[in-house]
Amino acid sequence: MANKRNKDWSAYLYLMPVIVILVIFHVLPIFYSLAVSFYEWDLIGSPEFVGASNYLRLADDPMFYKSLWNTVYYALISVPLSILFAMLIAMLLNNPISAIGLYRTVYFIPVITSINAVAIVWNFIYHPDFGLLNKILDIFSINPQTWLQDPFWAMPCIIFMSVWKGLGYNVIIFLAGLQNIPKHLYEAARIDGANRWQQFRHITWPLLSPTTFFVFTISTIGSFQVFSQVYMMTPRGGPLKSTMVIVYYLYRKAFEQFEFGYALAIAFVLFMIIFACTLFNKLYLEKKVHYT
Amino acid sequence: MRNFLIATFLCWLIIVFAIIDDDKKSAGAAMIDASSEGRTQVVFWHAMGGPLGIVMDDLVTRYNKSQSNYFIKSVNMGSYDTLAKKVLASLVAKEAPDISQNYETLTKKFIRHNKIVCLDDLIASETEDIKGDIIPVLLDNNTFDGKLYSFPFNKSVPVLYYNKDIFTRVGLDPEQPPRTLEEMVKYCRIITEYHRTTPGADNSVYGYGCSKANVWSFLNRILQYGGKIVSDDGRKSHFADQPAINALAYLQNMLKEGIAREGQGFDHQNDFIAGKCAIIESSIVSKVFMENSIEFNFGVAPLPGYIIKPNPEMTINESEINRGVILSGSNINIFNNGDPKKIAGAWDFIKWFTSTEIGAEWSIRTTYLPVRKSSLASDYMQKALEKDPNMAAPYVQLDYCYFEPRLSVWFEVRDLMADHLERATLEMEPAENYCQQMGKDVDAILRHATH
Repeated sequence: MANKRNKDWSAYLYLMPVIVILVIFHVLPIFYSLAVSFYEWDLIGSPEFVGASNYLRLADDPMFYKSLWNTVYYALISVPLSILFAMLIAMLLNNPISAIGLYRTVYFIPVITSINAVAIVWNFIYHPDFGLLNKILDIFSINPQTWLQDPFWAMPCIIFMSVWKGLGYNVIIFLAGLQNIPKHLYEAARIDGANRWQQFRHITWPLLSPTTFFVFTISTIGSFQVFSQVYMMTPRGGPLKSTMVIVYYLYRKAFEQFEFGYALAIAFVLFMIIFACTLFNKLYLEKKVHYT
Repeated sequence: MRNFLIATFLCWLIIVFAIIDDDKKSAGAAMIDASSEGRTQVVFWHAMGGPLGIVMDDLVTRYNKSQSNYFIKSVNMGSYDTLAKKVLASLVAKEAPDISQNYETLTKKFIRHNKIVCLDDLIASETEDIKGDIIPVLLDNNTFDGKLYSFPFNKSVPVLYYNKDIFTRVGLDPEQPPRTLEEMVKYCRIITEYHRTTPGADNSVYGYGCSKANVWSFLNRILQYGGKIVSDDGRKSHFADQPAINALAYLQNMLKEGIAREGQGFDHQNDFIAGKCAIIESSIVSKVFMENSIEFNFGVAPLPGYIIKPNPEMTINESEINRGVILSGSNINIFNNGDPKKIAGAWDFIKWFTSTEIGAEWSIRTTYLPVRKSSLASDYMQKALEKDPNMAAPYVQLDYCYFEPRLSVWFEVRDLMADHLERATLEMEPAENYCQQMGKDVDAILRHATH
């Protein structure tokens, strides 16, 4: 009995470092933010209690809704796209071809490159006058576009770049998922005369679903927090605020207009949205997942 | 696996010890720098990078050598934005620097919460009439409710840069930059037309370049058209008035005609350097950043103005041109950290830095305005102006120089204005539509703001 208790304690001891870090840098700030969101505070003076007025102001702030919609737009396009491409590439990279290590490395390089450096390079690619993209379009006699300076194209440009940047990470996860699928299932299917599509539909897709679910959840959370590429590539939130996403909006409110209470109210609403999405994924979508 | 873990752990240990050692060393260096000589250390945060940072470091080093009471520890924080964020964070942490560069909007907040020292108290003990020697517009810019709370430090004005080689090529007089807004349109038309129609000429060359949603340029032009920005009590904007509409329509018309182009960020400046764009409006400080890359003759001139009541002969009489420019750049605050010795050191440094000789040198080397009238008149300044006539444009404009409204919500207002300006040149509907909406939206903010 005494032995068992010792074992329990040692488990907590091992968990200690992570718990301390999580509490100090995640749990406490969340509650602190919630508290400050009921105050008006410019950091210079002392916070002034204003009740729910930050939240009321949020409820009829058109720019808040615009940034919320832009974020949803970003998530709706970027999450399915990145899952689709990552799964496709992972299946290709799962084949025994030569120099496979090289290909896997190439797809992973964007992930480990600093987002700021990547954003600067993509700024050049999208440049209206001497950008690579317009030069390529020119070969096919397609009219040059102003890309990041065009209210219609700015967000798709950001989405495309973000999908490319995050691809390698999802590919690695899908690769791990694919390698967990027992080979004998495919052999049996082939003996039964199943074609490639049928193998994918009835073996790969269902057995990969825990991985897909994980990637979907992580990507959704990540896409609601998109910030760096927007900040780097479309200063001021893009042409006609077409790339003003919610995190960038709260950043501007906090660090450019010094309305910390209001910014934290936005942050807390964002937290609730992400929380609700994740809860939905967990309670509803996870039922559709096959765990082997 | 085990070996790998041990190796990782050892690497980690080495890094930790290296950091600890480095910390000790830099702490040691600071000790030698300051305390060991019994000096008071004064921490100065600024945002002067690149060529400006070099001049700044040089002057700070010279100050530290020039006397033995104080030691200025200057730290470059990067951009103005980053500096402002760090200053605010340091105030919360109660570790504010002793001096920092700041905009007027922040200064107002500092005053309200008693975070900075009133400079009138420090000036009171001086024998010299410092205030009397400060350039009037700079003095007004830093005076809040009749008291001097911040000190002008690196203030700049916008100027016109033009490519003299292009002027010569198209048959314009390279020593005659446009004096009025109409002249500028005319010149831009000639320049663009010439390059489009002359065989062998680079047909991508155009007249006037600027950045998108440029609030500064819009405000300058409102003044040139004889308008006002906000009412004296700061409760109402004047953006729906005719001068503002004219200011916006002016840019829209040039863009529509194809003789001007808008770019993102510093695109217009790069186009100017590349010889694609003949005329740009930019801060005089851009000169320091551009001049080493420019491979043609260029001129720097005051911004063009507008003749409000043209004479019947339609001739341009210099005295009838209504001009106006708006200051940019930051001021310096002394934080109230409770140590009179540090405050005295901070004030001593500011006095030295903005003194007649050093101020003139700072101005010539960085193109920022000097703080004192006596700097303007100094031999150093006069000799430098003789050598490079392009230096004179900012000083000429001091006669009609203003500053932006110092309202607590001004950052927010500026941001909103930029949205409307951006929309105006993207959709190109009549200027009054945008100006009226801008006025309405800005007034809504101004009404609710606490000043």
